[in-house]
Amino acid sequence: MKTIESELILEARSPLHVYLHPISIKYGALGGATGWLGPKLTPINTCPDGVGAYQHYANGSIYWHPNSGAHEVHGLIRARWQSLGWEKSFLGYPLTDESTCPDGIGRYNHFQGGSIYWSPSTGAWEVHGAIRNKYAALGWEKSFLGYPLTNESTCPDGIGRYNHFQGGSIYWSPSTGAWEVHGLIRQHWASLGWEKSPLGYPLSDEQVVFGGTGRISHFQRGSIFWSPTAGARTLRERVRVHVKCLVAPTSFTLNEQFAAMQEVYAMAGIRIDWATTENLNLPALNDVDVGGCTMGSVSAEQVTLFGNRNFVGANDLVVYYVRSTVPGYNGCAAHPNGRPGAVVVRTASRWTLGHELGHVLGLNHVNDNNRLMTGNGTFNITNPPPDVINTEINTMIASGLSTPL
Amino acid sequence: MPNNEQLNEELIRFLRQDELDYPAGAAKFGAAALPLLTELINGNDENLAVKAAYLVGYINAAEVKDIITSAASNKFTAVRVAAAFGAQQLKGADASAVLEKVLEDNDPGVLKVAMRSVQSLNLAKNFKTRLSKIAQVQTDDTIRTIATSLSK
Repeated sequence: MKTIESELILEARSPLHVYLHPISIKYGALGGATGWLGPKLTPINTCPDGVGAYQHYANGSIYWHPNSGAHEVHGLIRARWQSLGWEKSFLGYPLTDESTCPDGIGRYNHFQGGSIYWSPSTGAWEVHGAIRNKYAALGWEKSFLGYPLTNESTCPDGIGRYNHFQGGSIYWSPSTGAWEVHGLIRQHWASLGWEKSPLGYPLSDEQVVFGGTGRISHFQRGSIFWSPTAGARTLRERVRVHVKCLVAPTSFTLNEQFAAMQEVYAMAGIRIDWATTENLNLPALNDVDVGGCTMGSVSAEQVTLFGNRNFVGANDLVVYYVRSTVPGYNGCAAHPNGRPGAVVVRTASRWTLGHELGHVLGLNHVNDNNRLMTGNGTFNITNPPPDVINTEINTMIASGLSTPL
Repeated sequence: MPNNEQLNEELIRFLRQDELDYPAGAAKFGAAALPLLTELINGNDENLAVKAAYLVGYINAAEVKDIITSAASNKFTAVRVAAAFGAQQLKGADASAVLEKVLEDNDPGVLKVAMRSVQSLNLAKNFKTRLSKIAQVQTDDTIRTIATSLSK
C-alpha cells in the first residue's frame, strides 16, 4: 500500500497551481474532522490497483477513482462492502455517496458493479448484474419487491443465482435470464422446490392473465397460475387457441372469455395460449349454418368456415366468433375432421368458449350446473368458476390436443 | 302443476342453454310459451331474443306466423335471420309473407337464410324478380351465387 504523503498535489507543468486531492475536497465538503465522518484514521492511501485511493475516518471512508470520483461509504453499507472485499470485489468503487431512498428510510450506495441497499428492518445487501437490472426495471425498493433480504446467492445447481427481497425473489440463470417471482405463485413454486422442482427456473415475470384477476408466471417446464378463486395451480400442459373473428363478441370481451376459460382449465393443469387473432370479412358466414350441431357431422358452411386456418398448427384449436348460429346456439363444437375448433356467437356466456373447447377436447355434457360441461347452459352455472373433474381432466389431456410443457 | 312464473323461469333457463334441442323445447313449452317468447323477441337481450325466435318457429300454433312475421323486422339482425329460418316451418302464404320481408333485408346473413328457406319451400318462382335483383346488386359472392342459382 502506497501512502500519498501530502494531500496537496503540485502540478509539475504549472508550478504556481496547487490542488487538493479529490478525497480531501470531498472530506472538506462533508465537514472535515468536525463533520459526521469524524477525524482521519489513515492518510490517503493508494488502492492495490495502483489507481484508486482511499482514506478511512472514525465513521466511514472516502474512496476515489479517476473514473468514478470521490464518494463516501459508511455504516452497515460500508461493512457489507468491506465483507465483499472493498473495491477489489465485483462491486468496484462507489459511484455515489450513501443516499436516502425516496421512502426517507432506506439507504443505498451504487457502485461500479452493483449496489448495496440498507433499511433498518432488512439490513444491508448487495444486488448486481442482471438481477440488479431487473430490480431497477421494476422500480428498485419502491417496487413490490421492496428491499433485498440477501446478497446475490448461488443456487444449489451451482449455476443459477438469486436475491430474495421483502416482496419476492429474482432468479437468474444463463439460459433463462432474470425474472421476478412473488406472492402466492412464489410460495407455490417454493413448495414445489424452487428451481430444483420439475418447473425449473422462471421464464417470465408474473403476468396478468387476459386482463382479469388471474396471474401467471412461466417457468422452463410449465407455469404457475393463481386466481382468487382457483388459488395457485401448476400447469404442465397447454392448449393453443387461435381466434378468428367474423363478428366481435358483445356480451363478454375476448379477454373475459379467455380469462374465464383459463381459470377453469387451470384446475386441469392446462395453460391456455391465445396464439393469434385474425379478423375475417366473410359476411355470408356471420350467421353460420351448424345443422344439428352433432360431433362428426358438419354443414357445408362449417367446412368453409373451418377452412380459414392462417397461422394454425396441426394440434391447435380455432374458435370462430360469429353473430349467430343457424339454428341459434351459444356455440357449436362440431368441426371437420383434422380441424379442431368451435363456433361461438357474439352473445355467448362467459363460459361458452371453455365449454365448447371442452367438447373439442372430448368432454360430454353433464347434468350439473356447477360444472363446465353442464348441459343445462353455461349461463345457468352456479358457484363459478365451474368445475372439471378428474376423469374429464384425463380425457382432455389424452385428447392429443393438449401438449406437455 | 307449475304456475306461470315457474314456467317462465323454466323457459328462460331452457333458452340460456348453450346448445338447445328446439323440437324438444317446443314440445315441452308449446303455445303457452308464445306470450313470453314474443316479449323476449322484442326485448333488449339479443341472446334470448334470437333463441326465442327460433323456438317460436318450432311451435305449432296459429299465432306463430304473426310472431315470425313481426320478427322479420326485428332490430337484431340475428333475430331476422331466425325469422328467415322460421319461415320454413310455415305453410304457403304465411311463409311467403315472412319471406317477402326478409328478402328485402340488406344483410347478407338474413338474405342467405331467406334464400335457403325459399329453396327449401320450393318457392323460388314466386320471388324471381326479387332474387334477380339480389343477384345484381349484392356485393357478396356467396349471396349473388345463391340468388343467381334460384332466379334461373
